[in-house]
Amino acid sequence: MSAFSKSRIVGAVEIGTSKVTVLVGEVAGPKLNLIGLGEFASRGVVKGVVVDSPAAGEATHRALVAAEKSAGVAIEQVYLAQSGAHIDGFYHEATVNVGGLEGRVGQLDIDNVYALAKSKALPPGRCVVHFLRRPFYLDGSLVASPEDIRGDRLAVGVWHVHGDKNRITDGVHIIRNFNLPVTELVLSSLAGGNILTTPEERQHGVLVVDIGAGTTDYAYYLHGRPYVAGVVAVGGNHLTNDLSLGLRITEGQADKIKTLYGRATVSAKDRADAVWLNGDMGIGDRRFPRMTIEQITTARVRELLEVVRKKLGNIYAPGDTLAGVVITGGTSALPGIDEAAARVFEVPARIGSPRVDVADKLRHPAYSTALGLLYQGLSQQIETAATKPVGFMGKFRKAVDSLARL
Amino acid sequence: MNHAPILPQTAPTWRDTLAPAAAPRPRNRTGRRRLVVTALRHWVGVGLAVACLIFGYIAWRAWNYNPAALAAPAPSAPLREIVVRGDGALGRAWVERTLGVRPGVELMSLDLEALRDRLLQSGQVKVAVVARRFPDVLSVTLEERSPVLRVRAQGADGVDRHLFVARDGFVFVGEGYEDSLVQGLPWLAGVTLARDLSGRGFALVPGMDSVSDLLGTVRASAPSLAKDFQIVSLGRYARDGVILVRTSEVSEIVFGTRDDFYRQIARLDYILDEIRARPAATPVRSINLAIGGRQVPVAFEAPVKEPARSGAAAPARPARPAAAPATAAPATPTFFRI
Repeated sequence: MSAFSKSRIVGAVEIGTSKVTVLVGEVAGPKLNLIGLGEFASRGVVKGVVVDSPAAGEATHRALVAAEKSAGVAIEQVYLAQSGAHIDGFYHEATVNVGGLEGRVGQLDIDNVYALAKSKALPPGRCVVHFLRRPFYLDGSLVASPEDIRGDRLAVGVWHVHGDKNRITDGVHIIRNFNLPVTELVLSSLAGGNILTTPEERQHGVLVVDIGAGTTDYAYYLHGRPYVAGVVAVGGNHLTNDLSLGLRITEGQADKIKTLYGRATVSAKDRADAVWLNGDMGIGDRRFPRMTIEQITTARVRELLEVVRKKLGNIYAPGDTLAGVVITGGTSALPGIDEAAARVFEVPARIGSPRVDVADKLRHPAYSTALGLLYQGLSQQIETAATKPVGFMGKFRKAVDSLARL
Repeated sequence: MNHAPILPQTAPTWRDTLAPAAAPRPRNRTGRRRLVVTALRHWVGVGLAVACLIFGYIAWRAWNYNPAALAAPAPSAPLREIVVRGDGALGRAWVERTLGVRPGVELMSLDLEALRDRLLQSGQVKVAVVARRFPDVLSVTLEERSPVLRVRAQGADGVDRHLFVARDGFVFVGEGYEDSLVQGLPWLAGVTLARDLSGRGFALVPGMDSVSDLLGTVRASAPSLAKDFQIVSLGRYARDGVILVRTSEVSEIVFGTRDDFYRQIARLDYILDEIRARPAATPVRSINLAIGGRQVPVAFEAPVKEPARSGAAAPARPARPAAAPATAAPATPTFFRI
């Protein structure tokens, strides 16, 4: 990097139900560098939705401060992960007659059909988080880029990911109150999908399921593009809750049992195989059959995955999902979850691992959303810089850089 | 005529719902601190920019209307006066004599380093700061060494002269001291003055900081005793850690450097008062205050009479009066219990 190359510091913030994660990255020329990490136990967030703004703000700001301290620089802009039970989606398609010269599709036709597809009115109090454009169809045939191709009717479909206006602005205001601009909102599953899947996998069809503490985010990729993305308001905390009710123990104890002995598939064969609650044989220590624990967690995980499959609807077909299912998020640490997902979705499943070179700690599925978010942000910054018109100072810098390289 | 295409209105996105002009309103300390720091940086930046603009304008004006002023050196004039500030006996006359600089010399032609070295050569000057004060004044600030003891020795020129020893053990030829001050200084004994590496001065005398503390304490707490100190010996300082003092009344007072001087002086004062109060005062040979404890051995010159028992008003008394016969050997000490 030369003295004249300006670096940009980008922060990726995920305000989750269990913790707030902030990653700091630096765009230096064509390079992306991960330079800082900050974490703080989340407060005031239920099922991905901010219910106590001051508490959530405090936790987020502390995580931001920790990340800035770890990076040694101030964050300049933030990419914010969006999740929560309020996120929903619908599909809208539009078709236009090609009006270009000699029946060739022009840019105006493309803009027009895309704008029409995005023009569906939303329910009151809702706003769009993402427009997920699907491939263009020209006279019923899928085309990667319709520009300058002869045809009569151009069609495109857009999956609208929308959410409650107030819930979305709550998250954005938390960041803005730290005097930082939010450059982009990205659905958690899409952020994770960016880093956990390859372009080839997305071309062949892949489903990314991010099971967090309060919510489960999913994104289904086909033909290289995200087709459907959404959120289910069920997460790892529900497993804890089920264990708490089923075994009549406190939530803290249930969380410990889940972490130590929970599974997404039943592996215990013998009911006599039991585990101790505390293991100290003291007053209040109890034994639970391992099979009971596994049955409770397995049932809930299966139900959760079935809800995701149901939400995907007809768009999901195992035959089109050749790259299988990628499971990520904190709850993906549950043993046997890939096996359970493979049974529900009828395709091979695996635990997601980032396709970039990062520290071992950040390879844990709990960081995949923040990591994906950061890399999306950094990639966008590079793209923006590459397409930005070069002014006098830009030319001057380039000249100095080239001299420095001599 | 080219018309811009009219595209349909798309659904509102999250950006449309936010008021971009809304100022951040942090509700916790972390957020407020960041906001304040950002605002400060902003205003410091604005201030610097304004300062640069003003400076640029001034420079532009000077360049256009009076370019010679930009290249002109700082005003300098012939030396009018030497201003001396010091904390000791050396005055302006000494400084002028030592520096050899007369008024009328061009101020900028003076070599300040060389002048400073001349001042420091005297040894009496510990720190010297020589500076130009434009347009025509030379400022000299001196920090002097204070004499603690005096000694007579041959200087580098082979002439016997009075020298002074400072707290840091530096031996120097003092100048400008009043006679009363010089006469009041005790003599140094018990050390051999060694030449330093340059051969022009003497090596530092070890133990002078302790001597300085002792004399300072005695001057502050018992001025009458201090006036009576005649010779201070460091002969046993290195070996036993003691300082020997000779006064008009006592041939040898032994002060320990490991014990508090104030306590030792209080004991000495008490014992001397006791001895003076006796009907027939006997010359004292030695008082050893370095032993510590509650008993102080005091040796008298022979012959001595039995020390009188002190009454209730005078609690100090010999520890073993019966064991101190009237014709005791001079070396046998009498123990005073304090």
